[in-house]
Amino acid sequence: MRRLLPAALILALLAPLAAAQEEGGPRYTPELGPDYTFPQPSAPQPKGTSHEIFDVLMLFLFLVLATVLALKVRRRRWLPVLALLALFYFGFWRGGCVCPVGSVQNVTMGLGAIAYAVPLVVLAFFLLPLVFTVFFGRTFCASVCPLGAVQDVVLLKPVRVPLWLEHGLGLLVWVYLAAAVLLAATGSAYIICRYDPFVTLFRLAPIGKWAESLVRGAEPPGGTLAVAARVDLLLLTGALLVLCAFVGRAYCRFLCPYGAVLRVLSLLSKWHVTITPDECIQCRLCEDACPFGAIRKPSSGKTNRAAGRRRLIALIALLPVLIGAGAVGGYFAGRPLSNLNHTVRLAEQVRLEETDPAAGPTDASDAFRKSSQTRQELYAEALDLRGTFVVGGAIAGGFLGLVVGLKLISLSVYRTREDYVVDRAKCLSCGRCFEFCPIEKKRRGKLPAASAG
Amino acid sequence: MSEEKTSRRSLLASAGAWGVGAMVGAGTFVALARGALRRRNWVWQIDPAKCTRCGNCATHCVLSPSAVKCIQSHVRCGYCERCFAFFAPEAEEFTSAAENQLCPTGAISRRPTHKLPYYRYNVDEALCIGCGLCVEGCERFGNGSLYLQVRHDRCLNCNECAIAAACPADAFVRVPADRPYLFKKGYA
Amino acid sequence: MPERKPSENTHSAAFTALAGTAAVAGVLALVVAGVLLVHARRHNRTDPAQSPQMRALQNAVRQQPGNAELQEEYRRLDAALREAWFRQRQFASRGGLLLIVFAGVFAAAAVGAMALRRGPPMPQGKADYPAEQAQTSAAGRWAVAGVGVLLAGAAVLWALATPSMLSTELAIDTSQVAPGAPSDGEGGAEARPVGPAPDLGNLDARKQWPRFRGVSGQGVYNGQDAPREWDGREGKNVLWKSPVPLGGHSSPVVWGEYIFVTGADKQKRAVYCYEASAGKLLWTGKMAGIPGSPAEPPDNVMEDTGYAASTAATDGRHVAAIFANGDLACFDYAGRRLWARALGNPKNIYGHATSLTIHNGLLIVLYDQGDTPEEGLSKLHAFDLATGEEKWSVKRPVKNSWATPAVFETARGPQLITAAEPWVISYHAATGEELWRARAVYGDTAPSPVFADGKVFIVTPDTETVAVGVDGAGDVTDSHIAFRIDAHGDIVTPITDGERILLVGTYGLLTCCRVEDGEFVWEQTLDGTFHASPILAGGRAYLMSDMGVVRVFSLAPEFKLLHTNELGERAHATPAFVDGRIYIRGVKNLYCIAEKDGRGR
Repeated sequence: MRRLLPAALILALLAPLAAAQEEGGPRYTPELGPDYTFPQPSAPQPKGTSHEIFDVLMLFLFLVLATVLALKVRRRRWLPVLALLALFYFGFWRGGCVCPVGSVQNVTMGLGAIAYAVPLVVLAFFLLPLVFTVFFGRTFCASVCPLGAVQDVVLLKPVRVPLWLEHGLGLLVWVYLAAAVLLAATGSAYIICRYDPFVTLFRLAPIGKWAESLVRGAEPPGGTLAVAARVDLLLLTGALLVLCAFVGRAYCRFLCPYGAVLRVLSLLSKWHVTITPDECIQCRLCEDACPFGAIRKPSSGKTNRAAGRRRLIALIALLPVLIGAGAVGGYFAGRPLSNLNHTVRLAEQVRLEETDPAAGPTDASDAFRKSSQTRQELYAEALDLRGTFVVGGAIAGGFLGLVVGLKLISLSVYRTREDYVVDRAKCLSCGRCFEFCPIEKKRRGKLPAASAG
Repeated sequence: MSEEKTSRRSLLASAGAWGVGAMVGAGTFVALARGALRRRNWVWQIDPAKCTRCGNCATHCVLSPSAVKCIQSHVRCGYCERCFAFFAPEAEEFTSAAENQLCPTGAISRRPTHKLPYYRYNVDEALCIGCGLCVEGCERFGNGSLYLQVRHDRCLNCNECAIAAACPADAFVRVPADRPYLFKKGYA
Repeated sequence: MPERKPSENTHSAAFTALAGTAAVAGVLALVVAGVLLVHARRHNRTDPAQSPQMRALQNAVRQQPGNAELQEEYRRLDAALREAWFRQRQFASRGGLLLIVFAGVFAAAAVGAMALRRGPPMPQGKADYPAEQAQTSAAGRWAVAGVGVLLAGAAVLWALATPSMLSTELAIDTSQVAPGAPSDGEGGAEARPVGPAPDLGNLDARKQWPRFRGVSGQGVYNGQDAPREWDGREGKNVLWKSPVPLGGHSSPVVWGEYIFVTGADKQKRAVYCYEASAGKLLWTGKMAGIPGSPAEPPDNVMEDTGYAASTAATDGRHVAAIFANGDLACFDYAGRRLWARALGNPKNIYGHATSLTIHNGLLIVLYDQGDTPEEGLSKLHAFDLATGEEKWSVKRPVKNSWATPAVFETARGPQLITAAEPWVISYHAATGEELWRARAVYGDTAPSPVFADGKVFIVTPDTETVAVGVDGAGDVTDSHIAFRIDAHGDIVTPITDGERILLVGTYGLLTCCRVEDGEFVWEQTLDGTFHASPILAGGRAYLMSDMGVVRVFSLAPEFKLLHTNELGERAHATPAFVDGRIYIRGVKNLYCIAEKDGRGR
């Protein structure tokens, strides 16, 4: 959007004055006398540290409660309540920002070359769920994460996603994570925040501000929310929620980049949620218990071991090839991905205008021409950044190749399993399966007395 | 057999947990060493030296009206009778009639000071939408006393500022929360 | 409880209530969402000032100042629109809250109803675990592999679909090329070019300034963005100014971001390469150690000519230069000398000044010498630009001359048209085959031929200008001289816009004639002496006097002086116009003129 002041008349009248000053002195110096006091600009301060520390404490409290309820108390009853409370507080009140999912980007940027120190609060938001997960599994996901809570609220009729499809789609989270990390490390964009389908929902009404104003008894300082500004994103949100009504927690399972990290950590957890701590009797009543496909069926019996072993060896041998292929793919993707960076985009635009006389100037190229940077320097900077992207892309691609390879290998290793167990990577510790297991009910003394006869 | 498996698994789990713990500890240390303790938080602010008054501040903020407002630096202001930020270029009379005003929401008010022909100009933040038309006028033909700043009683401090992503001059910077404004200094 | 069958639950009161609530809330939520969407479409991003109604009223008020009624109407509308804007925001936010409430109620009720409807689990049949697992694993492997392949393919396609305008040579890492020694062009510590030489050969030649008076040699700049005003004394619109260590009258040539000028004195010769963004001297091409190079400098070199009067020529990969003593060399863009030859001191009464031309990889060197045509010393050479191998050379029955030939694309192929007493000779530029000649030029030929309307215009200094048709063969003196104009230049080459031709005399007499028939149109006298040729840019003529003053004026319909620009330094070389910038070589410095906020910046 370019604003042009029709200033020809004015320029003509004021050419001498306009030509005079650059930096150094005002064009017009008023003589207001010695008694005049100049008012200072007001400087309303942002929310103080107390808010942030309170948020961290609340997160800790929620995590503790979720863990205790899921692992110790083992009742599904209170977990949805906790989730709704988390949704209200972290989601609607705090506007869903900063959240642990997005904090990955902040931490990446803080560790990268950009001059950015991660604030303690953001670091805490990043670490607390990770720490809890590494010991107790994904208790964060079921009852603390507001994004997950929204998806739970709309879950009407869970449809079972075929297991093979889940395996395939599970790769997407790693792609999202890799792209987000690369873009954050170069300081280009926070794509998790930019394309977050839930934050638009949380901002639909400034509940937090209204609640605060109720507490304070004063009008909020204005700022009703522009629903319309992100109509496209709201439609995306709507579509995603409709999907989540049938595919339980579609975002968590197939898109959440933080979930990728949590999956891996949860595999290492010592005290994970189990369907029952007692012996499984393979009654099969829990088969359809998990709307998220996190219960693994038993898998004992004879298989073709020779063929399986051959396949396994082939896949292990293929691993370096996959890493290489992934690196190549990532190398290719690095260049168009770099266009998300402001400097690279600007350099492309300036170069386009240099070579194509029909290409009109944009706001950004105009701003560049007014700055003191030369085109040479801009090109050098942009090419440097692109180099980083290409290298980073290759690394990320190689990593994705590794993930693909490991997944293929893990799908070729046949583990013998006699019981119905939770998939430690995928289980969100929501506790739905507790209610389906008769052994669990027996343990709690909830089974009806056996009828006579 | 299941006992072997569980003990092997628990060993792996402990090893893994220790490893992760070590990494987390190292990472925290690095982050702290880089000043996480000193930094309360970062907030967004506009660098007035880079701003090109493109008008994106009014349209890209997730809030509407935007959290970006025009502020007046009274020490820099020229107190001109014919203010280039207040009056539209085609204004015939220098009165505050609607057709003479440049501001689309009438957020700038004009009052005579004790000394003519100097007038004081104030910005009513409740009305300002952050479009930058007045800033352009003042920057080009005046003293540059009006400029856009993010107001932190309104700003949500999104992790990714939508205006920052759209700013053609890359004028949005992260500033520490205890010094959240980049005010223009007065002339010496 | 497990005993109850699923169907019974659906008839219970609780289920009906929940389902009903869900339906109602769902409908309401959809309605609110729809209303908000429509509202958003209509009211999003509208400045109160942008509405067409406002605009129309604004124009009306401006056109009729003093109309109190109109003003009142405007003010009322303005106030109403502003109020409406703020009200719309509030509406949106309240609507948003309502949407959340209804959606929340719908979700809660629907989930409750579904929970009631869901019966106990009823596992069907006997499961065959091993077969299932094998099948799932196999399918899973294919799914993972498939997704992996799709991702890799998408990455490649994405890369191919987004071409980039940036190429690595744009970021000249000037730290890698050692800066040229500023003092001498031979011996001593030399610039050591490292790395591969930049290759800009694929840039559009028509947008560069690769030889004397531009790519066609006609002195025409095709852009519309040439700077109009500048002042070298105050630095106004002067992007940079760099000293040139050795002086000379040769003009700058420009290709991409590289600028080349040559400089020489009696003993030393050098080629200088500058970069366009800040005028940094990138390298100095040395001219020392050329086998056969004369030990003594040529005599008879006038001060007005100098030892580096010939302008260099480039093609994006090589730059070639020739000096007053006949030393000819070719460099790559990293400053490495690729080859060099010595043509020997010329027998030239003013000093060699003819500039170089490149045509399709051939470096064409016109080396006219001798006091009379009969001496037979004049030659036209063509060397392979990359290797220096002589491809052909032709003897010329002419005496010494100072005009620079140019290649004109005609129906008979590329014609290289030369002018030296007494013949105007046209050669085929690729083979050197003589196409036609005309006895049409006399005296000390310095102005170069210009081409317009199928004719080439040759200036006999201080006498006349002759227009010769180019489609002849053999001796066309009697057949193809179209007309003669009783107007002339002396040293300065004319320019033409296709309809008018401008002839400039050394002491400021400008004559403008029609190209069609040579009819006189206007005449103007300017102050100053002129050696640099004028350039036509954006329909305006730029003519520089020896004091460095550039006058910008129009050719048609009459002379109209538009701007007068000072340089602050004497200058004799014809300026180069590239990419919205003007490069002027003064006696001491190379200037880059670019308008602030113009495209050249």
